[in-house]
Amino acid sequence: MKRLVLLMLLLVCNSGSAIAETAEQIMKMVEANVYYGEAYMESDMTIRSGRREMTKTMSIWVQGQNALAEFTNPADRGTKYLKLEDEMWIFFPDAEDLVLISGHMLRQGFMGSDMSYEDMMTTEKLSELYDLELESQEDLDGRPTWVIGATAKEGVDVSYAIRKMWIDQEYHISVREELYAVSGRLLKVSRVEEIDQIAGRNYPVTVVTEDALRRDSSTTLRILHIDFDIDVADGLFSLESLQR
Amino acid sequence: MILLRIALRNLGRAKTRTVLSIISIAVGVFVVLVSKGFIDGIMDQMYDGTIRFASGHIRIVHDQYPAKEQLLSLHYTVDDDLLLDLDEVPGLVAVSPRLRFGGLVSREATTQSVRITAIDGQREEAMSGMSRFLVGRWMLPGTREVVAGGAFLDKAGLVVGDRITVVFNTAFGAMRGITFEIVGSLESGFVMLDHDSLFMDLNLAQELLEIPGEVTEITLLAGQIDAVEGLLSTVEALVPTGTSAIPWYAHSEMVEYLVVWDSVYIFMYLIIVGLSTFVVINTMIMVINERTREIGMLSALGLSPGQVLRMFLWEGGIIGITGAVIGAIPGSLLLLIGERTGLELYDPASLDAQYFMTPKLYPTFSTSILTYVMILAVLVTLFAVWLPSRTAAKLEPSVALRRNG
Amino acid sequence: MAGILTKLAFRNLWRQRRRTILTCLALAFGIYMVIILDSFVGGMTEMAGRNIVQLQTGDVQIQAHAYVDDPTDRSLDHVFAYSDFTDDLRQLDQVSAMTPRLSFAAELHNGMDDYHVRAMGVDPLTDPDVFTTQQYLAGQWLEPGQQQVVVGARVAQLLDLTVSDYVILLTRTANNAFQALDLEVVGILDTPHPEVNLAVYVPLDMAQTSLGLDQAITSLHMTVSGSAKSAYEAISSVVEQQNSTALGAYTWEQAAEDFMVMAQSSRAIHSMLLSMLILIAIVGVVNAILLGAMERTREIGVLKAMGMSEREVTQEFVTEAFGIGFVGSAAGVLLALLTNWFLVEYGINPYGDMDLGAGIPLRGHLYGVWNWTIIAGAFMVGILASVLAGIVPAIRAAGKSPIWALRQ
Repeated sequence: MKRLVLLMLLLVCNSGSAIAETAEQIMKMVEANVYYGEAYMESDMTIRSGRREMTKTMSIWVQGQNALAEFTNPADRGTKYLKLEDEMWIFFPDAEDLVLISGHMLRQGFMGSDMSYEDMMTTEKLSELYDLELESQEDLDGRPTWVIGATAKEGVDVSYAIRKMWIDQEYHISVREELYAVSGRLLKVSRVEEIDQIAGRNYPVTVVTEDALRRDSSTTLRILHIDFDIDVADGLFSLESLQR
Repeated sequence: MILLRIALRNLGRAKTRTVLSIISIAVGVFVVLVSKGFIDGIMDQMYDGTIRFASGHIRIVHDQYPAKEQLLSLHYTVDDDLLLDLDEVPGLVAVSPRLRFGGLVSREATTQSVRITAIDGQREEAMSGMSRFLVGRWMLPGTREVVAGGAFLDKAGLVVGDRITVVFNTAFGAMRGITFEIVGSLESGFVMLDHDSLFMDLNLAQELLEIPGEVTEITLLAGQIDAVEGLLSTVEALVPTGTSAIPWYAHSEMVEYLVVWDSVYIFMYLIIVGLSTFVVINTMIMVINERTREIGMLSALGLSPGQVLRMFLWEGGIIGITGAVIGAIPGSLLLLIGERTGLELYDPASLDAQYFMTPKLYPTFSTSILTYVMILAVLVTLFAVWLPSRTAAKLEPSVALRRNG
Repeated sequence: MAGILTKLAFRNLWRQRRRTILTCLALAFGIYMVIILDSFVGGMTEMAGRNIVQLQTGDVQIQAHAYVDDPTDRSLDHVFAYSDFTDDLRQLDQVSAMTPRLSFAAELHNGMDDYHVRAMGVDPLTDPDVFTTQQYLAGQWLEPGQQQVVVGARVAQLLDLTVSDYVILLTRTANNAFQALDLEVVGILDTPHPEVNLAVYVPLDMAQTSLGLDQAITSLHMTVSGSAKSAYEAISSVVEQQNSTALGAYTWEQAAEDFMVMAQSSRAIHSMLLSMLILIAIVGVVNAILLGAMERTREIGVLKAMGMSEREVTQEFVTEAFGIGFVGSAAGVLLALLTNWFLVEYGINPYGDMDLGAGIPLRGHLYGVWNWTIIAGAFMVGILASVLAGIVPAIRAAGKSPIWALRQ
């Protein structure tokens, strides 16, 4: 009898190796994959809005809570965004002063894309902002995924009260994400279209975000180059360096 | 001519009577002239402001634009190629493209929102004649210069010559910040222009907003407001599908409101004209009636009824012209002075930007109205004289003489 | 003697009845027009004011100073819990009704387009106690707790909405999280207040739950009875007792400052036009009386030859002038009272169904107002001008010798 129980336990453990993971554990793995202490990347962003389409390219440095983005496409060349903890400063090559972006502007579209500044600049880990729950397992595009529901923690200021993520069980990457309003209405959908191996990590390199309430509106973010092993120059994340 | 001489002598003889007649006409002319000047002043100001700075006589916009206008959207634009076609339309005196968008003026970590209107200087001058409000100079094409509302500068503690950083979103939503030099300020009295507004060069704005060749609207000014209806169909035939040509009267609820307000004023004006006419006629009737005896005497002396009538008409004409001139002088002076100085109606700080009304009321003086009022006064006087003198002249001399006079 | 003079004066007026009637008519018409136009303009201002009170503000409202200071502030930063006030306010005799509202910025999506609107959470049960919004409703009114919306006519037109359509209302909660509500359009509001026609209304409780606001509102609107001033003061002191410096009581005039400025300037123009009207009317009357007196210089001679003193002659003429002034003014005032009574009681609908706009709530049935200052003033001025006009020629003529007067 005892053996039988042990066997059953073993069976359960084996067959459900995936199920046995908790939502928190899964997110930890995802975050370990995606979040980084320091990184340098080059990316481009294609914004479609109705009949208009435009691509922007940028170089990004990240260190902890701070980030610096410098645009390199001709139209925006030289424009730099500096996120220092909760503040966002912008340097425009054609402006003599630095511009501080206030709270309500932070919530608007990032450079006209379907992502908001908050989406782009949130460096906090999702597991710190949301209560997570493993809802089910699904096959997405023929690959097994965990479906995790995230509900904003009490008293936390986030744009999306509910998120739903499809985590690829092999790559430990959120390959599809749905962002919901408090009411549970779908607002935005983003999906990973391409995953690449970078410095031994699986990293989503092409992400398409669509606005569920507006037609003909999408943003495609591609990461062209990423380097996790960098030396951040002293004072890079400072207002002085912004104006250089 | 003898009749004219008699008429003149009569007027001189009965001085008080003449003076009273002249006073009634003069006050009538004064009252009508001044009322009209004030009514036209306020209506012109409102219509003119709305038409010149907002609606044009006809405004060409994307079909969807009116619904998004509040947001100063750049998604629903009109191709400015259309300008060349519109320039060929006879009867249009101004064709002005405008590109309106919102922005923030950033100063020392604070931001303030502004409405920015990008204009083609020459075309806009023909449209709105904004130069008359300009202190300083207009921005030069291709330079990073702006003209700002005077009240906006005051509020921000800026002066002409200062530099400001303006942050705005391009048509693609990219954020851009540019430092401009303020080269002029607008002191129009219109809340819409003086508060929270910046003007920049159209080509520069199109380039900065990444929409070369596009504008949010093209406003048209017809030579005559009555010609708008006719021009509308011509213009409609020129604009591409998806674009509307909206006449001024359909521009906004504000204009509809103005039309109603206008009708209230016209009603009051008509009553003033009516009462003035009544007073003049009443006075003249009394004056003539008093002279029934005199008419009998003249008839007895052999003057035909036609001659008597003509004599009275001469008198009426002289009184009418004198009264009209005497009333017109102070009336015109008041309007001319008012036109310069204006009458303060309310505190400029307290009004919302949606009203195209200046805090001061400027009455308008127009020679055509002056001429019209004076001619009307003389005609009314002649009528007022003709009416009783016709009956009096027809009376038998004996009957007329027996009348108590 | 005075009795004889009065009799004489009235006999003279009757003898010259055509002149008397014309003069009285000019005076009556002038006075009539001044009173009616003033009532009309007053009625227009009052109607606009009434629309503001009945659709937007109520008589008195409590709200955060911050929203009044910056009308563009549509944030939820200055909400308050009104249960703190309700008990105290209910104690006040002056407050006859109250209803809470929650105003917030939102985007309304119909699946194709979206439009920025001011959304208003209203208590479906108490809102009609203060506001007349429902009178202008096509369709159904809101029910508490339901996912329903009543949209302004202009919004309905822009987004092509009809009753029983579904829309998405996108907004931010108090915690800045996106909130998207699927709502059924149950009614469309076509009011005389343009701002209302640009707004959308949802049940308050549903809005509070959806925005994460527990019982909080942006404004509390009240209908008051009796003196508006004392009611306002009483409400103000209730707010002060709560020690909340961020909140204040505002009368509708304070809350709708823009409108008051417009009303004030149009009033200035109307006064100008009315004074022009009064001026010409006075000239008419003065002229008629002067001419009438001059016409009768001979008569004065006769009277004097008959032994009447200068004083008596003057008195007789002034009495005549007074008679004209009184009859004319009285006729004008009486006619005006009658017309105005009709205007006040029944009103007229001068603009039909035309939609007026731009923040000036004008459309609707226009009623007159009773402005007793103007009515009494017009009456007095009419008589005064007549009497003054009568005195001058009377004194002049009375001073002349009978022979001179007779020879004229």
